[in-house]
Amino acid sequence: MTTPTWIDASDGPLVTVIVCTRNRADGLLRCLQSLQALRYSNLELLMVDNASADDATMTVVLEAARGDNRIRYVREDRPGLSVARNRGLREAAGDVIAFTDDDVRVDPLWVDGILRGFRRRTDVGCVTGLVASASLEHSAEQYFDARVWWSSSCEQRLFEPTRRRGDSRLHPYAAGKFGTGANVAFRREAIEAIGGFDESLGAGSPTSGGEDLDAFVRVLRSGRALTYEPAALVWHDHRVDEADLQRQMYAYGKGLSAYLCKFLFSQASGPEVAGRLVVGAVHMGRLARRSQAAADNARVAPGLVSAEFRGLAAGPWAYLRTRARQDRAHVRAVAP
Amino acid sequence: MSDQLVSVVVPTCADATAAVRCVTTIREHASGTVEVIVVENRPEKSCVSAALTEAFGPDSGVRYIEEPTPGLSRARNAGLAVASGSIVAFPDDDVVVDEYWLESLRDAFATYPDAVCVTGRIEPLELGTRAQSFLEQFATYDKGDVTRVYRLDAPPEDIPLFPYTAGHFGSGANMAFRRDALVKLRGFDPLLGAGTRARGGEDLDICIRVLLSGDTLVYEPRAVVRHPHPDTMRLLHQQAFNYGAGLGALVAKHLTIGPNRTGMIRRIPAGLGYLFGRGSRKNSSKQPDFPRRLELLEVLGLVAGAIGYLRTLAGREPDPERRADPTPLLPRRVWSGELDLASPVIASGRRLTHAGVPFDEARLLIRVLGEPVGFVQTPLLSGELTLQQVLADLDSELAHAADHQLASNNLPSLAVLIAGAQSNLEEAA
Repeated sequence: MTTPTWIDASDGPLVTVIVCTRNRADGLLRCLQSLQALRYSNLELLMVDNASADDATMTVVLEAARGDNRIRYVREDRPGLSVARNRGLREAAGDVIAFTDDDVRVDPLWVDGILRGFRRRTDVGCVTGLVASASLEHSAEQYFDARVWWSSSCEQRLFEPTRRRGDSRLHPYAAGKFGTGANVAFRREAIEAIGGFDESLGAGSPTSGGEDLDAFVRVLRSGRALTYEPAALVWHDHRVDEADLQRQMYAYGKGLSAYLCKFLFSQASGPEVAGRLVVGAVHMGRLARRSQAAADNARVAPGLVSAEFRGLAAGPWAYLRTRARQDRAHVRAVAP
Repeated sequence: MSDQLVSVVVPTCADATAAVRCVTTIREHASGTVEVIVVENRPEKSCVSAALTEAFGPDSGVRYIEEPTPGLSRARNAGLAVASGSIVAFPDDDVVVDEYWLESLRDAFATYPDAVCVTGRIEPLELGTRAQSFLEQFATYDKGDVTRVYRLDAPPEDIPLFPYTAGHFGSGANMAFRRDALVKLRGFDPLLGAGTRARGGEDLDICIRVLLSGDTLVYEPRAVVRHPHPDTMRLLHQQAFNYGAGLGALVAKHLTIGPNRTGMIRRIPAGLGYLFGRGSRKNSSKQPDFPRRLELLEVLGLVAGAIGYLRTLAGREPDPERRADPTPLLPRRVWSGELDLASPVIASGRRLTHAGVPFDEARLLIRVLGEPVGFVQTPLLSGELTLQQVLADLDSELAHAADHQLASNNLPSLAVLIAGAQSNLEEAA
């Protein structure tokens, strides 16, 4: 096949791909194999082993690294997705830093898609991409697929720091509109400028999530643009088990409201967020109805939608608890 | 044909004794290859798994799965979802299967290739007490000793209200289906059946749906299971009430959401006559000493079942699509994949299955030289996916975007691709 016109065939920047993983050696191996099959060649593949219980992850990575010197293994013993991603950032050598998860298989043109997103404009600091459903066999997968738009939108979008026509009235705080942490890349200078990921958010912390949303918003607030680029394609294995998915939706809800709390309680962004609360509540109501329709359509057991909203209710408390703990430990969280 | 794999799904509610007895007889009389799947519907207090292991050993091949949401229909559907046989039989856990049960089911499916459902005979395990003989008169489990073939386009003269008087075709304690057809019907209705407010009716419902969809149902009297009828009047009263409730819920279902609502309404007067008329087929087998109380309980159950079903239905979130669809049962199974229009390769008539069960739909990410253009979701007939069908199902917006991408890469247009797919198909034919 000839190189498509949308791909820049000339030598691009060094791209570091960071995959943070924990106790999922078999999933990681599949992910790693797909990374090795990427068309783009100027790569560093950095596997961050985040407090795995055994050395299966290390074995898998070191085995693969023996035949491929682009692969690196780093172990981070402090648990937490944000902690692990920040560790990866410190280790990374690339000018562009892309993040994906260990339950993902990347498309061979994934990195080409990311670089295309950065080429759209010089001030793009962050590129998110399409996270397609690897399987839709089970109702839990179908629900998740219908619930999040970034599993099916093929429309390229550009978001700017200030609200433009066509943007949500919640802009830039409707962070779910920007993409997801399972498929995101930053220019090194942009992610360094915002101080990396907030360690009081994210899986493995009491808030269970929201670190990706927080990073999107801070990139925008730092005056950079964000693009959603469907050509940056990965295939994600959603939760098959409805009980697992219910836990995940609870975590999503928690992460979302924790991230919103962070911006609400900060002096710099508080008034802006407070001014959007009413519209936000209406938006949530619509979201609930859409989620319920998706749940009915996928014929999942009741409780999935309410799990997300229970999470929403639990998020602020989880965030405040984490912050209090960090204050005691004299650790500075990343400011909005 | 005779060694066709049959899956036997036995739902149970933490009744280890019954389940082990039932499975023992199935294994004893198994001819050919059989897969036994025990579905525990009350897993929180179950010792069935341990009892099965104790009775048959750890490598017996008896599968044990759990369906935590209570409901006989849900349990059967859970078994159906994992069954790998092309025929799936559903005996109740309290029955004992006859020596020739399995063989007769297999024979019936072989003799009637268009049969989707085969029901068998239910005999009383014993007829010792008055209660047991009353139940036999009341429920008319025994549908006679002649093989019968039922089809919508050939309504039998001796059965009034066909196909709604499904009690004549068989009972849930002894039914078998072709798996693919039952999956296509989306299994048993989870709002009906023991364990729901309807308390029953799921068996009659599936028979009606089989017939309404134009398929064939066969009653095979040689496929016998023996059912322990309740031996006290108390249990019998309960059973009469449940029986009425299931019927009430079934009627409520088909009156509210069934596609044949008008057909059902038109049959109401005749239905009342059938239920209460002395000489009706339903009541003719009752002896003079048959207790009136049972009939009263059945009527009470009828009302309670109808109300219970409507309550369950109303308790669910409104969804216009679901109301139009009377069978929102098994979830759709969707295959996920991609298709690049720059090199559109789908083997003609590719069959998409998992564990032998065909997918209901396929969803494909449409790309042009790697660039995602949009998604298309397309229904599959017996799991078959063809390029022509995918291209025909592209909506206009997607087709437009795809054409734009194809043109900007100097590739043949969508129309050319469609024509090519068409001619490929004709060549294959």
